[in-house]
Amino acid sequence: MHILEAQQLTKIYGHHLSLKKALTNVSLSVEQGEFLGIMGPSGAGKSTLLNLLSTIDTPTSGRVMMDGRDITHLKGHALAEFRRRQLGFIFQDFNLLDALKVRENIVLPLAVNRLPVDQLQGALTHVASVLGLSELLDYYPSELSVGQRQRVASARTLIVKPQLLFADEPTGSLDSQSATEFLQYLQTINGQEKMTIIMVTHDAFTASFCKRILFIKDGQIFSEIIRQGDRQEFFDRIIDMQATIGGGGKTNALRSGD
Amino acid sequence: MLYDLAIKNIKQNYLLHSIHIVITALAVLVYFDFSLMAADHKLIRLYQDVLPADQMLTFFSIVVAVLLIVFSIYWNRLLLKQRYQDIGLLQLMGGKISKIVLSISLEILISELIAFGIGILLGLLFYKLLAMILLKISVFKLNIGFFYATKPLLLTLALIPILQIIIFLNNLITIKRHSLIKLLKKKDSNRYSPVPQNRAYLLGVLVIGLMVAAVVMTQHVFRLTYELSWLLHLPESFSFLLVFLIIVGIWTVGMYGLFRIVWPLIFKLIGQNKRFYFKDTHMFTLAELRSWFIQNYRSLAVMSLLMGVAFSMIGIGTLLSRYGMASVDGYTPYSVLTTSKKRAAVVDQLAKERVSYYELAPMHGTVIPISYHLQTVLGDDYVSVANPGLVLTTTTYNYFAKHHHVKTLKLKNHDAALILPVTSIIHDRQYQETGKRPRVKIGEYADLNFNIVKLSNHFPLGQALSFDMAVVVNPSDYAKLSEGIRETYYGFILPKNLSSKAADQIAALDQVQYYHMTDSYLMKYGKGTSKKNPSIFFHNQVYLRQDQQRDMRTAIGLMMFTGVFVSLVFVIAIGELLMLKRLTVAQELEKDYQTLLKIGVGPKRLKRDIIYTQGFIYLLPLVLGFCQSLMVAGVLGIFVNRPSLHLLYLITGVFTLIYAMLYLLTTAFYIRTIHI
Ligand SMILES: Nc1ncnc2c1ncn2[C@@H]1O[C@H](COP(=O)(O)OP(=O)(O)O)[C@@H](O)[C@H]1O
Ligand SMILES: [Mg+2]
Repeated sequence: MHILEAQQLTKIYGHHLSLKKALTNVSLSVEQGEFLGIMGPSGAGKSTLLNLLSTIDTPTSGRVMMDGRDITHLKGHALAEFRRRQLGFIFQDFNLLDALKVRENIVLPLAVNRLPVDQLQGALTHVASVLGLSELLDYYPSELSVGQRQRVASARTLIVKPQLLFADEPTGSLDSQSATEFLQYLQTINGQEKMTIIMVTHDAFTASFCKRILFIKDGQIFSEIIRQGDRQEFFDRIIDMQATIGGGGKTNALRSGD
Repeated sequence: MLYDLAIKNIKQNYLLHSIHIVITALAVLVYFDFSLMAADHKLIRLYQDVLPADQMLTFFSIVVAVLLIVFSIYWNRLLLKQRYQDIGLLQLMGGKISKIVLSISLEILISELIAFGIGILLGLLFYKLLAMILLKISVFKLNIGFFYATKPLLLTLALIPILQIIIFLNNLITIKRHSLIKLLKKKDSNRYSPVPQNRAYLLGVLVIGLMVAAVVMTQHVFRLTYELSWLLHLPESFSFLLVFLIIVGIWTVGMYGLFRIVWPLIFKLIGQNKRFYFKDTHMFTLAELRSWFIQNYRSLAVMSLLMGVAFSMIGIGTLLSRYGMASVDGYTPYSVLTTSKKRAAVVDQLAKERVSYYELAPMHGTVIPISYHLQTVLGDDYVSVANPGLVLTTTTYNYFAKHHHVKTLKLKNHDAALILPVTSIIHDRQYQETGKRPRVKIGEYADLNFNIVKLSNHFPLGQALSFDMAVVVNPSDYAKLSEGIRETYYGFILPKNLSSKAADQIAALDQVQYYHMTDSYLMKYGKGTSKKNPSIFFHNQVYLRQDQQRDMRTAIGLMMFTGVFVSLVFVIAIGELLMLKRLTVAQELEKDYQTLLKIGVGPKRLKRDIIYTQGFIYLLPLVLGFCQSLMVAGVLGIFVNRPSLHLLYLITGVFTLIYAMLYLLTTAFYIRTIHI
């Protein structure tokens, strides 16, 4: 069974006079344990799609099913409860709470789930060692580098062991080395913990860590590629696809290099 | 260009500006109407026998103006802080500082003009209503019409340039002082870091100690005054001022420490309970509160102190009115009192009015033309200054005591009872002790002449006979005391109040009596001699309780009216300042709340957190302010017989309601700002 299924998602922003159709009839399904990438030029509707899939926003029409359950119109407490137990989010700008230490930022979701303190400690130790944060627990976010901050944000997400992890341009603020490290962590988690990951990116290098990639253009699915060989090969195919779509900066750079 | 920018900024920050407009308009309304009232002769004349109403109104209008200036400076600083980045960018693009400051000034001017317009308009509109309220609580049964004068209007308008100049200079200096880099920096997060924990414990204890010390000192303020004046050979008024300033200083430092150190420490300590801390959003809430106190400790301390001033005004008013009413209320054991010279006329008049009355036995007393400075030694405790009204001989005292069921002192023959006014400073408890240890020292009063006038404006017996306390003096002191002028008084008890016409007629019998003192008398009792006529003092000869009661009510009415309005402005200003600060916090934290939502914290839960946090933040200055008013009331209460604080509680209740409304509004705006 699909862990996530979207049917005919359409999203229209704005009111009567200035309507903006950001997404048109998008359907897709995601299998348990997948590492799915969503790519496309800027403004294509990637974030919109991710927000709809992850309950952060509601579609104008269509629906999202998770484990066969319609989650499109969850509200209030039920929605909060659902997000807390099933979903994890990682954002481009980390969204760490500045007033709290790294340790506290990471365990916050568990505290909200009202887990007993001793279990909290165990989970923290585990996730911190996986993400290499053990030494940093007593710092404040403002004292860390951006790469470290993104890892903290990931730790906060992963500590609840969500079924589904959503990431919107998670490497957007990272330098290439931090980005590589971070993506390797994601790969590890995807492989070891069997966590399903859906990641939005416009960057081919980042996308090459995925197992499958959906390309979006003008609010519609344009095409799909699946990784078969090694990462380099996958990366080249992604670049080709970007060239076909005619969006990404690298494609243009390649062309002008010809 | 400048104008367009200003208008654009106002539209963008309409909430900030509406807060400014509300408080400014309110202050202007009060300032303008108080000034109008002070100029309204018809109104002021009603009070002329009782109080210099115009001076009082003018004084309080100035207090409001000062508050407005302080508020405006503060508000402007917040506005400026929000603009740092814009200002930095403008400067980067080559904008001139003075021009930038001018555009901000223009923005503020527009907002100010709106506020002054509203304030003055409402002032004119509500003048009659306010004046009627004033007359009503001063128990005048008459109507007063609309009043307008140009001078008060000009005085009000003059505030605009004053505010503008102050704000302009303030901004110019602030921006010049900040480097471009500092301006361009996003926000100065963690402006103050928490005090290291081991030091915080020590300092926290110190702060609490200081505050306790201040409370204890207020309870012994008179004793301290005397100790100090004795120790340093200072005049007592000066020494009192010194003690007062010391207490205020300690309390202020304590207040700063409370917000800077103690509260953050408390939140830290609460956080050490891991079970509590790592549950729900507790850690976020605690961290937020902690940084709120650390970052805003100065303004929170000032707000709490100002709240204290506001409530203390009400507390003082409450007790003063008790003080006044105690001398004229039902406990006063006579309705009419006359000197022997006027007795016949009063009896005639009473007969003419066909009222039944009961005459008390003649009371032989001594009029003391000065305020003695009594230092009653009670153990090691000093009781402070008293204004004795009358000394009775033992016989008279005993007669009186028996007749009116007052607590009886067993006096030996030739002892004397010095009857203190009912509202005098000696407390019941102290009276009991005095009874046991009757030692009274009579000191000298430095400012003799002043006190002759002061005392003689009252009927010397006025409050003296309505005592339920007394101080016993020894015979030699009594001998000194009795060098005053002997006078016999006649008291009448009327079962019912007189009609106001009859009352007026009795009151009309009153004439001031002039006493000519010998030089030697004056030489003995004081150093001060007036250039005018040092040997004359006077007092009234007919006292009508009903009449005095009315005057007292009139005075209290005016006092409470001004006090309540001024403190209301204080309370609202504080509530609105908190609103400003909280909304700034909301803007800063919007992202954090969104993050919490994404993590899966329910919006209901977040709202509940906010309501509680906000409630706590609003409650603190209120509670602290109220405690301060109780402290002040505690000191004043010593002067007041049967002090009752009901009025204080009542008005505090009303203020709390208004303040609570600001709290609810703030919370609603806050929740709207963070979009949950
Ligand atoms: N809240 C919104 N209101 C109106 N339009 C929006 C909103 N969010 C996104 N859009 C528009 O929808 C389109 C898709 O946006 P988005 O999903 O953020 O693109 P991407 O993440 O692929 O860059 C864009 O044209 C954007 O301007
Ligand atoms: Mg996007």
